[in-house]
Amino acid sequence: MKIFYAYGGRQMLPSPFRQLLLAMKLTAVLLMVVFLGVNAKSFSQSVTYQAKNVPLEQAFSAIRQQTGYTFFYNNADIPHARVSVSLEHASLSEALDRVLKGLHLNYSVHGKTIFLSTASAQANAPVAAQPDRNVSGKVTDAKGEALSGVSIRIKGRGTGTTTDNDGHFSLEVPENAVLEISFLGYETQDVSTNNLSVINITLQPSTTSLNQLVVVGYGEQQKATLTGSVAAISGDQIVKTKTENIINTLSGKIPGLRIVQNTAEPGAYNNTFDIRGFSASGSGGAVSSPLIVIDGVPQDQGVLQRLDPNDIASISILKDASAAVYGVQAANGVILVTTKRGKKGQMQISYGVTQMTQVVNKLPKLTNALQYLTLMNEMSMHNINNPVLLFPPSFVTPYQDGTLKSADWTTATMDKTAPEWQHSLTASGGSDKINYFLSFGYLKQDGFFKNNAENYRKYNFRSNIDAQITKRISLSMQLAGISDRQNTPSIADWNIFSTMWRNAPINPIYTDSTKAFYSNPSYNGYGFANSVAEITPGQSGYGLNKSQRFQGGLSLTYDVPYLDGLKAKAFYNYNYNVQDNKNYNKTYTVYNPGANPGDYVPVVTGGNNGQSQVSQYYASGNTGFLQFSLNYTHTFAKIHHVEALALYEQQTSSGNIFQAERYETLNTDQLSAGSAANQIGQGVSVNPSASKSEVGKLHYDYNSKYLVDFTIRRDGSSLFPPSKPYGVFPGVTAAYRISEEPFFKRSKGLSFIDNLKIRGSYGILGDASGTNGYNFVGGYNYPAGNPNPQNLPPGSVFNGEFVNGLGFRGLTNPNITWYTARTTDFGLDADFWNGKLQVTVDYFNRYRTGLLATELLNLPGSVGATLPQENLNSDETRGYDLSVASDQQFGKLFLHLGGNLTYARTRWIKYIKAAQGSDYADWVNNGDVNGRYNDVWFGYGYEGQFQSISQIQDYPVNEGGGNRGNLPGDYIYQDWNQDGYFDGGDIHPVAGTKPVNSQGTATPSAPIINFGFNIGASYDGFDLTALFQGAAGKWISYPIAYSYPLDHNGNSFAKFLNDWHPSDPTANPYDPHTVWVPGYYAYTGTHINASSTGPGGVNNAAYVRLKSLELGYTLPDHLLSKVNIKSLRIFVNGYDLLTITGLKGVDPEHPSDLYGDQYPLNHILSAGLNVTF
Amino acid sequence: MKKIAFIFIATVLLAACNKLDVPPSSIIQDPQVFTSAGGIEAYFAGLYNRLPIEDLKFANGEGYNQFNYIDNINIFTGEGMNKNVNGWANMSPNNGSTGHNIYYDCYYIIRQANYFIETMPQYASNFTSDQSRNWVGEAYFIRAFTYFELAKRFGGVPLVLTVQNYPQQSLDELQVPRNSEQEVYDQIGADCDSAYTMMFATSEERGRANRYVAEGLKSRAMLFAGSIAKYNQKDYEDPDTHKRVEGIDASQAVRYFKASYDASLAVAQGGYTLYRNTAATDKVGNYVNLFYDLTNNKEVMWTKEYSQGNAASSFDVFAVPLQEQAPIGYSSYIDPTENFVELFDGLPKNPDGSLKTVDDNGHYVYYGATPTTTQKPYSTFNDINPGPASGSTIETDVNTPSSNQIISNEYGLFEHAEPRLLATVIVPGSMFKGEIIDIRRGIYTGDISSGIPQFNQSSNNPYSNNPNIVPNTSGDGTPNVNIGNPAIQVPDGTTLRSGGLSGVFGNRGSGTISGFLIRKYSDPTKPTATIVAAGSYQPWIEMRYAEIELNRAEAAWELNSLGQTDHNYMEDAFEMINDIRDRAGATLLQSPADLADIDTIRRERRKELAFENKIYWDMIRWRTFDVALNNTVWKVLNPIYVAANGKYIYDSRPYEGNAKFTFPIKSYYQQIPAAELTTNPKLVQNQ
Repeated sequence: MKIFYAYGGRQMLPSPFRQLLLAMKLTAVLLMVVFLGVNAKSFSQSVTYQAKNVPLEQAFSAIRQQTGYTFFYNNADIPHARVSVSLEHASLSEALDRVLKGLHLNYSVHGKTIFLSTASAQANAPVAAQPDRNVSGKVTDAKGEALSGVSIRIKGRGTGTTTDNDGHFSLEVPENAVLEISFLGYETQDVSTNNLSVINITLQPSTTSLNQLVVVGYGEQQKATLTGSVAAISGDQIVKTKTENIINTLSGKIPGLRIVQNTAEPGAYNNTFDIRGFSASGSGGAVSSPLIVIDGVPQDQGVLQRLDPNDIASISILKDASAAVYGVQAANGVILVTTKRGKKGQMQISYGVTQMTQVVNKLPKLTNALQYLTLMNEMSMHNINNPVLLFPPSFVTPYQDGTLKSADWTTATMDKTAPEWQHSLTASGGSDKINYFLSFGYLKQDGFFKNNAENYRKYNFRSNIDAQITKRISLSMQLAGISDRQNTPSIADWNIFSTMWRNAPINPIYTDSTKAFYSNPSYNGYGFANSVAEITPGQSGYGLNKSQRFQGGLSLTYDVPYLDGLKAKAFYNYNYNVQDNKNYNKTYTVYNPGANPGDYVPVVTGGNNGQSQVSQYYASGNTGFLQFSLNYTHTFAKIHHVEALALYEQQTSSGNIFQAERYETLNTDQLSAGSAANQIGQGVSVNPSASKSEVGKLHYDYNSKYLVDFTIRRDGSSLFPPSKPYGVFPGVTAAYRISEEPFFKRSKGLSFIDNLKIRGSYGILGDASGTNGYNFVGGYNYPAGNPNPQNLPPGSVFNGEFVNGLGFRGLTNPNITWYTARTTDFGLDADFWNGKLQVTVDYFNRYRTGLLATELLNLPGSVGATLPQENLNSDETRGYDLSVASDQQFGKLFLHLGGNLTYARTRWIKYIKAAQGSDYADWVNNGDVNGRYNDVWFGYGYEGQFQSISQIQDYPVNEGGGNRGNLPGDYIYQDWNQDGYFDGGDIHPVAGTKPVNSQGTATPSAPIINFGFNIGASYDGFDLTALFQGAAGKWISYPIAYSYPLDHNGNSFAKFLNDWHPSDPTANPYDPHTVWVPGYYAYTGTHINASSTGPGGVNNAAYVRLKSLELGYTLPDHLLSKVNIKSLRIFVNGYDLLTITGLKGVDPEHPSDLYGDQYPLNHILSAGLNVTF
Repeated sequence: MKKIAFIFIATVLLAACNKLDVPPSSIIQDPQVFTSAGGIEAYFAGLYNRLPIEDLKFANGEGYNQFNYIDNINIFTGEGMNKNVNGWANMSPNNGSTGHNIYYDCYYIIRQANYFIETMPQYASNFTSDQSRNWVGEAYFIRAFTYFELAKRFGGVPLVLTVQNYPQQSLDELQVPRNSEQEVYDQIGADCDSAYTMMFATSEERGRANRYVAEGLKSRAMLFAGSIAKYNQKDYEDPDTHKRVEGIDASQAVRYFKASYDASLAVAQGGYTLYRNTAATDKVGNYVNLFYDLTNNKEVMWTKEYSQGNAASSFDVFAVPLQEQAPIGYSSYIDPTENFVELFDGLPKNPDGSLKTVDDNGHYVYYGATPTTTQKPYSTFNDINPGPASGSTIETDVNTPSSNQIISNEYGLFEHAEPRLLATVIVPGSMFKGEIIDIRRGIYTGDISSGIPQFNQSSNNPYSNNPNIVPNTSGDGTPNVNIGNPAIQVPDGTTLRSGGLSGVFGNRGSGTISGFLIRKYSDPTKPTATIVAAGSYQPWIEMRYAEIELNRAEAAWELNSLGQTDHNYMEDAFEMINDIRDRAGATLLQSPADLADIDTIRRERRKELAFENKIYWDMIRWRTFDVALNNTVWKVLNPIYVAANGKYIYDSRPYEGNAKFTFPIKSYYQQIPAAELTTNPKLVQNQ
């Protein structure tokens, strides 16, 4: 075994591998320590085959049928041996190892072909030269249709040809040659030439992709017999995108899964995702998200986002009533994650390393001092009453002649690139009795702030062990843990961006040349905090967020005797999560310039209330999950296939939060060293909860033609009012495979269709997020929490000490309950030309009722209490999703093309609203009215810019003040109601997709149309994957810094230099004779109306981006076998390499909340290797 | 192995009976609250924090518990001027109505008080009877206080004295019409009486009421009711109930004034006296200390205190002089007017009471501090000089003086000012946090051989056009110490900023706009670095004995004027006012005859209770607002340095921003929120 160093020597394996393995054996059952990695040759199909004393070719044939891999070998090399094997879910390599055991044959796999050779000779060794002769023929499918492009290769020689458009071929062959006829989507055939000169061949379709198993709720199903709308993706497709957040790696790959990446901040895991738009917040304010189930256990988003992609076998998305089996948690769809498990066979160790370089994505460029002063003077000239130059030439000149330097706050605060590393080590294998999959992963991501002020590290391990204890009893154990730590500045990122962007370039970063004294950029009113000091831990302190997430599960399965196909299973899982945060918010000193040059006056700033403070937060939570199930599978009379499931599960959760804060009188970062004065130490109650559920499921399959699934689930929860503790959620999904009808099979004209299935589903699902508020319980909240943290304290100060007050809960609603969603889906799955084209189309509709709202009929204020929320509102989400895929083969070139698209939009069916004064006000202000889409953006129309004073004078619409203050370049807004005035009456819908939460503020959301397109190609050892992803129907408006320059007299984005301004900067802009230079933005001092369209207002943020591009090369086996390496793949990858969008200067996914002052997104360039031993 | 598996499965089956009745741990019920003193304390902690106390977090138009101290009601009373209100609008007071539903918030508190009054007796056995009586009394006090806040705004409001429930009660039952204003005041009086009879003589904890606080509230509320009965000119009756929801019959005046007078007498039984703990020679220091000495202060009756991290006020952020501005920005948002300063004694005045800035020839009077004048850096109640404020952000052009140092000529006009004025207002050239507060509008560089004639009083921009004056910035909104405030060398060789380090800036600049800054409640010991939003912890004194003495004097005067002779009311009023004046360091009245005009007592109130958010309501109950505010522009005093002689002239003029204030008579009663009229059709709107 050989150890490969990772990359550049920076991250090396910490200890000799062999020792590690020894340690692993010692703790064999528990876990193995590994380094992240990808097994490039993880053959996803498995082989189950039992045979005694059969010819070798027969074993090959079985493997070919099950895996779709074809064999390529020289007949002479193959001994006439008979083999005996027993394979159960064995991987391809295991199967080959076992079948070829002792036969002195080597094999190598290229694409979908297995090349065999004797141990002494290579597969492509030339055979003895003999005179060739011509063979020709025609290849057709079972219905007699000609097949073009079929690969015809001479076995043992490696040469061949392909059929033409009519299916004909012609080839020079040696004596007794065997032709291998292979074509994607068809069973490969070997044909002996046997002195024949014309050979006509009929190929039989293969059905491998349709036989693929897909994980569904509480079970698995073959893709061909799926009845619900379920999209699945395998682990090897996930790892093709190289980024740290598993959600982002799925972007553009799964139809119906909508993802917006909000940041590249290390460890923030901030993205927004939903299934088919099913997360649109209820009017109750709670944003509901899909249920996430990992290996059968419900988990929170934090676990999913931190999963090691190398651990994942597959992810399934349940989009319709197929989710109904999850009952009250399922209304927003379900994400099912299955991790890898061991397979019988030799231990296989894979190590992968990826070295990544993050590059800042679209960080705005700022003005320098001269440009800044120019804009400042423009703004002060932009004053109709008193146009003056705020900064006279005497002030500007020193910056022109270089006496004074411009300060570049951005460059001083941020780097343009930051490194990132991923390592993974996995080991898997098994025997007849025990299979295991063990993995260890490590991720380190640095941030863009200088001083590496923000960075993230993550460690994860997983151990999945399956054991057959007795003939009828098997046991599975899964242990997993994720531990991470995020180092941050003590000041929130967005705050640092705010200050960095607003510190005027005329204010120096340091007061002196030795850079020992940080300046106070706010001393003259043209700046805020010193952002460089803010990212320097020695100055402003630091933040440290650590989390641990552990999961342990054990299940026992019992094959019940006397009834074949009946299994009983018991499963217990325990989750334990810890969040441990610390913030050292330190005061630091900045310096004002003093009266004389060289003097400076210290100013203490930062900290909390001007004092250094240490705060710590510790939260732990645990969830016990227990499941018992009976599963019955049987096929009656060969055509009635039945699967039945009865299941009980229950879950209990509890947690604790403890929080402490102290002021530090010394420069220490320890809570223990803090002052007792004003200290805070408090616990926060985490409400415990319990639930129990019964699930029934019946799958009936008539000859693979008529398929139906019934599910029913009864959920009980402590979150529901005691008067109605249980909800029942039924679902039915059904499918009809027309392609299985005899007439269809007989028809020649339809023979190009391999599979045609129509599906339909209906289910009643729930969403309990509205019941978390315990609206059915009266009494008091204690501690009161903070009803309004800015304003109303949660208690009173008595005798100088703060006393927590009671929060009076007021009137209760004993009937409050979950939202109910009725989901309908119609779909079609079709496969053509033996898998060369695969199409899935779905139309869906989700109708929700029982969304929370407060009845309009409010009580008189003199009651002193308001009505509680009730389940009143309803909405409807409709849309479609579509996926198309095609696999093509051109000789050695394998090509995969895939595309998907989702459209989803939600409108209100019933929305409780107060009437407004007029119909127009009702239309505009009641943002959510019955029947209206929930995301309509009301704003102002934009009609360009005034070109001249005379145009302003002649302009018939009064934009305010008789347009007296308007200047050339000012924005012309649409007088939409044509009343001659531009005012509040001109508000009308200008765009879509501005979802508003219950507080009335815009929330980041997914666009209404999401699509992805991917290309995969492989040729010999090379593979190439490109993923394009995009969105349409997305608008965005950024406030303040992005929208207009010089906010708070601070610095501006350089883009605002492209503005209308007088060619003579000292000319009075209000003088009609002033000559103007046109620009994209209005004259400095004019603000765009942020809710209008136009520059800096509401802009279309549709985009297409090259989300991921990966080029890999797998070294040939013959090179590796000498060093005992099974496979070695090297790759380069680019993440978010290219974006095409109409949005200027900012990434279309960059969120607009927090004034848009947020950590940027990144491009990632990476290179790495995966090696398997 | 099989056995183990069976046992495992059997255990699972047995365990499979989760209980769904899991109560949320953050929600508690009555038995946990009413059975321990801690539970009761938490109940009251949840009520006192919501009480509508008009403290340093009360903002006009926004309501209670606000971050800002910008829109304060004292901009209407002549106490202060608001820099945000910039002279382009005619400002009308709206009593915290817009954007803030005080109506609902008050009934929310009343509901919890009613619930306590109903529920406490059921659990009384857990405590001594005195204790539970005291608490019920406290709930009555809270109800009375809250109804008073409603009554002073709306007049008669629905009296809801029991807990209402829905849907147990019909909507019709819940729709309670307005009671008469008189009924509401009678209920407030009755609740105060209940509190007085039930409560302990001393507060259980500082920050909570006792029987005398309840009686003090009665003194305040009944004076209000009496004033309405006597001075209200506009009545309105609910056409359905025929209750007078606006106004009280004049016949009730004597009864209410008497009730107020008696309540004030009762408070005197509680041992309260005016604060005189500091040496008698330091009347300024004594007056400053009154607001910070909570431990040995017989004047303070009821305070509201604040703690870090729990929404304290931001007062210092907005009040701090520009030269001591904190990194957060802001300064000088409420500036005392010259109209207010003129009320005080010890200032050179014209016969009409205005400041004497111009001599009989129409030339400005030169003022300078006499070299022997000393000024103490009023710092803390125990007179510890904290030295220069740490982390001062502004370069100074005067040396930081030590204690009792001669101060600059800017102070000239105020050399002999009444100590209470100096403790309430930072006047130009006075000290704060160990620094001379440098307030100037400009520098006069012209020839003074024939005197300086008065500047154009009607111009809004009187200085920029005067070639003899170097004004501060043009007032484009961006002046600050370094830019737009030129430093010039004056003939004596020193360098001065034309606008001073803390203003005056004519417009929206960061410095004062009136020539004055607010000292009352400005924390004299707060380091600059700790001046942050929600970072001011000075306690708010909601009730102090000086107010009770003023109430008593006023009620006595009114009773006397209404022909009551059962006491020597005028003698009593004379004693009360002189007690106040003595402590203030003001000139004492000679005899009760000096009180012939009610205005003397009212002026005393304006001076004593300034910036305590009380005067606004006094002007409401006196019904003097509509006269006082009629296109009124407050006066400012602009100190201007005269380069030729190093002295100061003071230019008194209407605020350059020209903000005008008008009080419509209609505003004596606030509009009931329109939404309430919808939800309760039995409510009638104020007319």
